[in-house]
Amino acid sequence: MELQTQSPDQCERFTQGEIDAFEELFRQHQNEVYRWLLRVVRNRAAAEDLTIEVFWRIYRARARFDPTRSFGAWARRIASNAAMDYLKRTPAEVPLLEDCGSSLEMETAARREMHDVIEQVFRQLPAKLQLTARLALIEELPYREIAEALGISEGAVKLRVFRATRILRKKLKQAGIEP
Amino acid sequence: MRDEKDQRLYALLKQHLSPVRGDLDDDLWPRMLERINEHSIQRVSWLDWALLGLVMLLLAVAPNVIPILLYQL
Repeated sequence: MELQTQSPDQCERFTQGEIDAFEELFRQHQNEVYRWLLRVVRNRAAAEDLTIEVFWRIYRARARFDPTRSFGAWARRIASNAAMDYLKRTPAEVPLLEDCGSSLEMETAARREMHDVIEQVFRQLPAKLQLTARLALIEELPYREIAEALGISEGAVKLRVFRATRILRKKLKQAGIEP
Repeated sequence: MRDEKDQRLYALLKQHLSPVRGDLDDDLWPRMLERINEHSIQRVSWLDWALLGLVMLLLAVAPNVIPILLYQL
């Protein structure tokens, strides 16, 4: 997520509760936060709702923000926590396949079925592992960036990816898929 | 060997779970402001109830204050 810079004065006014300052920061960072959330939740409407939720949490915690630090990095940390909460409460749902006749449609249907199985297996991962694995394996973000966003060490990121990989391989094998 | 297996798994995941990209279509500030205002309204009503409760308590404990309050109003 690209981090925009903000002036210390702007952040100072924000921590003191000035709504204008909050609006400025909101407008500067809403798209970054949205893009970050979209990468994880993969749903536009949910990402929009979560963007509002993230900035609401930011607004409530404004007095605790250190204006000398990066607002963007703080926002991304809060966004990651909000995304994790979303993954915890949202069950993995897979769309049903439609019946089809021709071999070409069956090939597409078979591919679609594999996609659905893989998606469902992925979403069955515990929220922490799912979030980390999504950012590392699908979005291919550097481990350092993921570590900063989640507030954990790079070693912890590697461990989560390792655990997620192990679970994914096991579950895919149970579903008859061996990469 | 393990790395090769991992790489095949990662390739499969990327093939079927491609990254999602996109920007906001609309400015979310109006919705944000609505959320802030909703919370402010809820806070004021609780405050109002608390103040009302205090005034009622005062009047119950010291009813002789009523004429003084009415004079002030």
